[in-house]
Amino acid sequence: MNQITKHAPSHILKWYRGHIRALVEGFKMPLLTPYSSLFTVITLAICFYLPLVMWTLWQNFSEVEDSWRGQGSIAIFLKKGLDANELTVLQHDLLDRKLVTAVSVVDKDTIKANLNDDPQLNQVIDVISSHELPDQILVQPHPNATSEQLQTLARNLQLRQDIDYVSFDAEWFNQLKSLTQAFYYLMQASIVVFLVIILVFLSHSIGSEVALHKKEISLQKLLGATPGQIRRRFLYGGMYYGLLASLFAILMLRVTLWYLEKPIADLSYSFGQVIVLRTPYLLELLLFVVFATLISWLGARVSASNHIASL
Amino acid sequence: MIIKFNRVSKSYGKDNKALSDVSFDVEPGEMLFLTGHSGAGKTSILKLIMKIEDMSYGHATVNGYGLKELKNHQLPLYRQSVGMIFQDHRLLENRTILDNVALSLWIRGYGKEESHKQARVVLKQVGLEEKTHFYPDQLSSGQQQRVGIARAIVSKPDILLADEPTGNLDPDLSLELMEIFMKINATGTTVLIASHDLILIKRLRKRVLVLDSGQLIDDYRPES
Repeated sequence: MNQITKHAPSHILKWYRGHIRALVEGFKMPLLTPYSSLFTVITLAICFYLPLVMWTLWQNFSEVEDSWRGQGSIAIFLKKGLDANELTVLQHDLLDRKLVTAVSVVDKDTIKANLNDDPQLNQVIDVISSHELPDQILVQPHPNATSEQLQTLARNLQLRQDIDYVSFDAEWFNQLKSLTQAFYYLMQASIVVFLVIILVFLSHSIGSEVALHKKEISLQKLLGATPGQIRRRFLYGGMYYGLLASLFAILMLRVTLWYLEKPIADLSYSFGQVIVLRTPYLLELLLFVVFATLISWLGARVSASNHIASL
Repeated sequence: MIIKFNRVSKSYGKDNKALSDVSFDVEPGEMLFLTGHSGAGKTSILKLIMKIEDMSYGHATVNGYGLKELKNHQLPLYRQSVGMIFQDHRLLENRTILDNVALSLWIRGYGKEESHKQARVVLKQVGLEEKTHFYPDQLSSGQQQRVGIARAIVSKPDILLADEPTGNLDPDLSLELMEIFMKINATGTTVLIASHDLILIKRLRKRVLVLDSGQLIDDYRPES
């Protein structure tokens, strides 16, 4: 074959130059059709945003669940007239158990003082005061103890003669666990659904771009361009769409979390807890952007390959 | 032989035969014409050589490649060895003349600077050195055809195909274009031109393949 210059470009140089050209042309692609590109980016951003917001809420619930697991305690109300020696024996017996990390005795005066401090309970304290309150032992469970193990422990303690009543409310914990699990499954389902939507939508958008450049693509084929050379600009175009959409999705997430901040704080306060929704960490956001960009690249690749082959 | 057609046929459906048992050979560095009335099969031969279409029967080799055996992944490299000039020019309206010509070189992996340098040299050869930054719609039909020629020859292909390159041009411009083709041929490039302009063909005194209703009816070689 005739040679254009003495130094024909090597395969690596050819590959590198091809990518640089495609990078620039791909960047220009959304700018050539700004309105339809904006529509594409917004639609993709919504598709990325919904799983992202669900993942963020799931992460928050999961972290709350983890933090509450260690904080839960069993309240043991002692029989009246228990002497100091019997109390010490009971404390040692509790501490010997693997599920127990610490025990602390709360006398009736401290209990009354705590009730007085509670804005919701201080109105009924007078009624309670007319009855003598029992002493109480607070059991701090081991952080790895499961809800089921603690419930069994509570049932066993209830059988003892020196204990009047054992209080362990695991219901809230189970509810939170179920809610977190439901969020987890909802998030998984939404990721699959929205991934399909993203791929279908990108296929349509990239298909339109390919159709717009039909004449140029046909010419490139006749001039000897490889399918990879022709496809490249559309892949970079898809990646830019994905990158912009993911950044837009992060912006929407931040606005959502800001909007939910007060209602969530009010709700958690009513349960005597303080929950502050956290946005994903920088590394998590970076991974999300990379993932979104790769998914868009994949969608663009599938679509561009099919559409270009059909020309 | 750089091109060898052996009993090549091409049909579109059952009854529409575009080519029927066409056989001919072309030596490297030769310049020849394909002529005949409209529908004679001139463009079909060029399309088969460019592998835009596949033959129905027969065997053909071009530049060492068997057209039937040519795999999809070999097609780009094969096409890089064959330049084609289209009757409708096929220029990209949103690119300058310089970029249109340089496109062939970008595909071959040349950088922007080198591609533009080579494109300027070729545009000078076809007399368009002053129009490098014009867009196709700012040029006349004859000038656009020259850009098409420049784009086809800038990558120095082994074979140059031209489909009715003088189709819309007046006789003077047609002759000018033919002179350009002869200069290209003089550098060793094999040139195959499909044309129905018999007056022009006679003036140039080159080999002529005459087609009629898909059959090769004459292979005229002028005496030197």
